[in-house]
Amino acid sequence: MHRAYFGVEGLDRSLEQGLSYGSQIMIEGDSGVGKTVLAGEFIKEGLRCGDTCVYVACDEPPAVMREHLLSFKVGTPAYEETGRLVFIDAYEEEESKEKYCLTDLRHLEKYLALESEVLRSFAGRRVRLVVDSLSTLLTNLVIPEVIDFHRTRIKQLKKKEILTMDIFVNGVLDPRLITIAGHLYNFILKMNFTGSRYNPVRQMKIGKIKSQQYISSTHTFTISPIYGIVVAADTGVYE
Amino acid sequence: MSDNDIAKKIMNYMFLSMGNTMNQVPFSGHHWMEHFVIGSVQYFIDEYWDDAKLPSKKPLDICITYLKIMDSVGFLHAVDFSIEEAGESLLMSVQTNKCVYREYCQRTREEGLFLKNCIRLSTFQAILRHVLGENKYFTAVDIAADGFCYGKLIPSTRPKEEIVTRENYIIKMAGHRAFLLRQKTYASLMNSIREHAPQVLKHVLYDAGYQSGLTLAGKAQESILSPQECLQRLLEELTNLGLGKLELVSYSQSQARVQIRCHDSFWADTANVYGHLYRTPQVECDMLRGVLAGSLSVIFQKDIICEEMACQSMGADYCEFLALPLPQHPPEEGGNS
Repeated sequence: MHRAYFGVEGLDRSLEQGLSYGSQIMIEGDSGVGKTVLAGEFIKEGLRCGDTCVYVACDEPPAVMREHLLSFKVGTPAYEETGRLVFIDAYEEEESKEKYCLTDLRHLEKYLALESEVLRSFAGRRVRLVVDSLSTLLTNLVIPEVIDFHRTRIKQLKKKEILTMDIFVNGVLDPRLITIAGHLYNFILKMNFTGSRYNPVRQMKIGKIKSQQYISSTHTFTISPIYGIVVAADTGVYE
Repeated sequence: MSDNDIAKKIMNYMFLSMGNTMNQVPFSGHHWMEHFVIGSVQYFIDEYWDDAKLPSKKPLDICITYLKIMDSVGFLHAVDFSIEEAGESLLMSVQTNKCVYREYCQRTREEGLFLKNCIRLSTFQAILRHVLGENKYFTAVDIAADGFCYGKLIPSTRPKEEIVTRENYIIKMAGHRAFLLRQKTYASLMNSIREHAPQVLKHVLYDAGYQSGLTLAGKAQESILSPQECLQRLLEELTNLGLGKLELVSYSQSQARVQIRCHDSFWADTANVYGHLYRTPQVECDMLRGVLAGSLSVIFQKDIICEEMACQSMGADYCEFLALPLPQHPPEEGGNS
């Protein structure tokens, strides 16, 4: 069976078996910690592996991710032309010039319909889906609504064997909601700043929830303008 | 069939056999093939050139005089050929079915030989060298659909990339020191980089390729070749260097869009023989991708980015590259959060 990785050495090393298509990954992290950079790495890796990558831009226009990938020498025009890289604009609403855009961000069912439509057109391919950030779409909704949406969506994505990365920005949603939603994911990756205010250190923990406990390994990392996320060597510690 | 016809047929067979042999020579096949032709023409020159009445020592006059002598001995009809100057270069055209070397040309293409010297142009190289004292010309030919062959003799001051020479224990490629490396050693080198700095591997390979692409294309560009001819010549050169058999699939000058295939890429083969460089099967020819991006950036005079869309190391029939212009105004550096 084909296995997938994030494309970040150090982090991938801790995933001996890799990720299976149909897995769901929850990325939860502080603002500015590097969630979008990680999403970029995940897409780069997918494109190199022959996957089709769908990026849902909720917090910034799709052009930002395009430029981000280009700055890492990823030829987005080639992948877009061949339909291997697709952007869904869930940011600009009516002003969007993208082929796929969400014109009304208030209705989750419209988002689900659009996501399903796009994914349906790639049936039979290995697909990676990144929603950056899902928390933005869920703002102002009550917990039961969000949980319902989550259950339905994740069930569909698993069935279609879509490798999904959902990004959540810390502090946007009710922590209880994050905890409940976390149970629906195969992997949870938490990214945050540690260290002092004057010397912040980036850290990520990847793990799973087993028997109500979050079992994870911890890695410190930096962001290089050339290499992207660079995990500090040999700092993986299992808690 | 007259004696003359059968003699010409046998001559074509001889060149074809030489072409076949030169295809198996690891280095400089194109150059040695040229040498063979120039050498054989030299015998003719030694015997018949003394009577030549040269109007001037201009390359155009030398070639026209040569054609007239060949005509006078009944080998060809000079009127079938058209030669004109284009700057310092010469442009020649002839109806394909009137060239005595047509059988050689057709068969080299039918048999898929990647060395496709134009014998007629090499004979001009021979006479120019004889009169002017050096062979500073390289050739390019296009057998067009209109039934004509269009050839170019282009002066170049730089040594040909494919010429490998040995001076005692020093090996040189195009005048620069070189050494031979086994695929296994290359694979060890890559594995070592991966062990020590896995995050740099793709970047090192791409950047190394890009820099060498800039140099290679810079050389091809100093001639009067059209951008597409430059690219074609470059692909032949890369094939000659052993990177794989490169083939131009599609080319658009206006969109600066190019699709290239590589059969039996060195890197894909290395992955298949000595193991993949990455955890999961993925495209492996980053160096070639860089070479193509660098070369095409020079040829199109704009930033080109190239992606490997399929790789033989992942089970594809060939590696396929798609190059497109870099969209304008990308950010200075990567990375937001």
